[in-house]
Amino acid sequence: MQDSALGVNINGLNRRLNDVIDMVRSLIAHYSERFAKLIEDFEKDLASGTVNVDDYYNDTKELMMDVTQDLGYLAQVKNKEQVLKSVLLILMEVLRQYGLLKPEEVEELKVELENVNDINELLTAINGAYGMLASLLHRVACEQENTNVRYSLVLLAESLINFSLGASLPAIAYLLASLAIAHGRKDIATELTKKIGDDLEQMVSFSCGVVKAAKFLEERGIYLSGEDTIIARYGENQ
Amino acid sequence: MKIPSSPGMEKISDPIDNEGKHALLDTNVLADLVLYVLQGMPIEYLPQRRLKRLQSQSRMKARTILDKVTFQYRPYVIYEFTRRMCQGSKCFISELTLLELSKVSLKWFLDGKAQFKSKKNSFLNAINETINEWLSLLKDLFGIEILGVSYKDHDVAVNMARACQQRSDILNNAVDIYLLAIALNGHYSFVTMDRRLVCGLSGSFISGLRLYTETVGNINRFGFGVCIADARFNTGNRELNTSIYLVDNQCMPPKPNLNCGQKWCQ
Repeated sequence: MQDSALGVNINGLNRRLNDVIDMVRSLIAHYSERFAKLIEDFEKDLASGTVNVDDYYNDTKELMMDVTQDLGYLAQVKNKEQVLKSVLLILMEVLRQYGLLKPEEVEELKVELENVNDINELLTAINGAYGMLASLLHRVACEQENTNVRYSLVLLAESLINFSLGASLPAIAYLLASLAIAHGRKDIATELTKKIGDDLEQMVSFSCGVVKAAKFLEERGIYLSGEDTIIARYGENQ
Repeated sequence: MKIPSSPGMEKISDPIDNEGKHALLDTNVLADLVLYVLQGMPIEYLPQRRLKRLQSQSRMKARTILDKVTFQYRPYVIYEFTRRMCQGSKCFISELTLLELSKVSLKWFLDGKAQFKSKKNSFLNAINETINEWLSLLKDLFGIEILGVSYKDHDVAVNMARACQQRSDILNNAVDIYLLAIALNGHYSFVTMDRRLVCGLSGSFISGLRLYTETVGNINRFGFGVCIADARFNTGNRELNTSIYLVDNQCMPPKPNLNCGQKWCQ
């Protein structure tokens, strides 16, 4: 029996790891029942100690070949604006729950959306929302003392980022890896991330490095942004 | 801090997944990595001044909540792209980044928000001390090193500037020329979010702008958000070339449609 981190309370989020995994899972599996089933089966196999990484990787790949389950695909379907708006509203509600938007801002957005029908604008906003959540998870992850919780949260953030970048295969692989680590199976997580050409240790080290570097400046009252440096390069009226 | 010079003519081609590649990160890329983390701070912890600032940083001036959310798009693409890039390549920044970071930091000190760690040195020394300490941290954390601008880089930059007919614009764009010269001379892939740099030098040294995609298990990653272009310059008997990666929300399928300003170097 491996040590499970699912019930660990996450400092800074006031939620258990299990709740955060469920949030990411519901955002991603929302698009496909087959995704949801795959994740459910994986969790059962984790519990019984019978996970075969190759099988899950191949199943996920097959699922991707079958139908593109990403946001780009969603944008091609009928009533695409409505589909994207509903995705965005679900995300806004999650951002509110996680303290990244105020309740009144969510209400304001609902009104704004009535006049937005540009697909690229909606997709970019959806991606921005995924980015905000991922950023929060990265930030919080690196503050956690429990190694499994830290790794699991970093993988969840990567899952969200990759999903919004249209890379569903890595997104699902990172989510499965996150679940594996939460169940105390770092070996499975390492193997899964390797399958998609990534390195778990390097990933966590980079994430927490960025957080540390940002906090170094933050503590000294320096808030950098790319826009600032471009203004410094060319002046305000570039 | 000891700053190594850029190498001469190593034959290094381009993208993310292969070992032994070198990538030069623009100052704005480093800055947006920091911004990525800052934007994940829940509102209750975010100082009001900072919140207003984040909103006003958007070119669209964050008219709406939609703008506010959309604004996070570029920093996280930069985060993921840089992570992948620096995992497969050795990443560098140039000495010019030191100058630019010092300049940007000045306004935070002027604002009274930034704090000196020590007041032993002169004001500018204190700023440089903070920046150097931060850059040392980056080296320890990610192995990102500072690349000195060599005289070979300088020679390439001078020849590039000579090739531009509208010489009056060179002063406004000197950093662009030097950055591209460093990247070309050392065959470093160059990663930037500076659309003006790419636009301004397109048609002269930069061409072939297209969407960048990276394939993972037959699935494309970065289908949107990142463009790639070719940079070339012939100087004497040397043919210099490298790849430019532009992270910009106008790098969207089916093909990039950059809202470009003046192509100042023709």
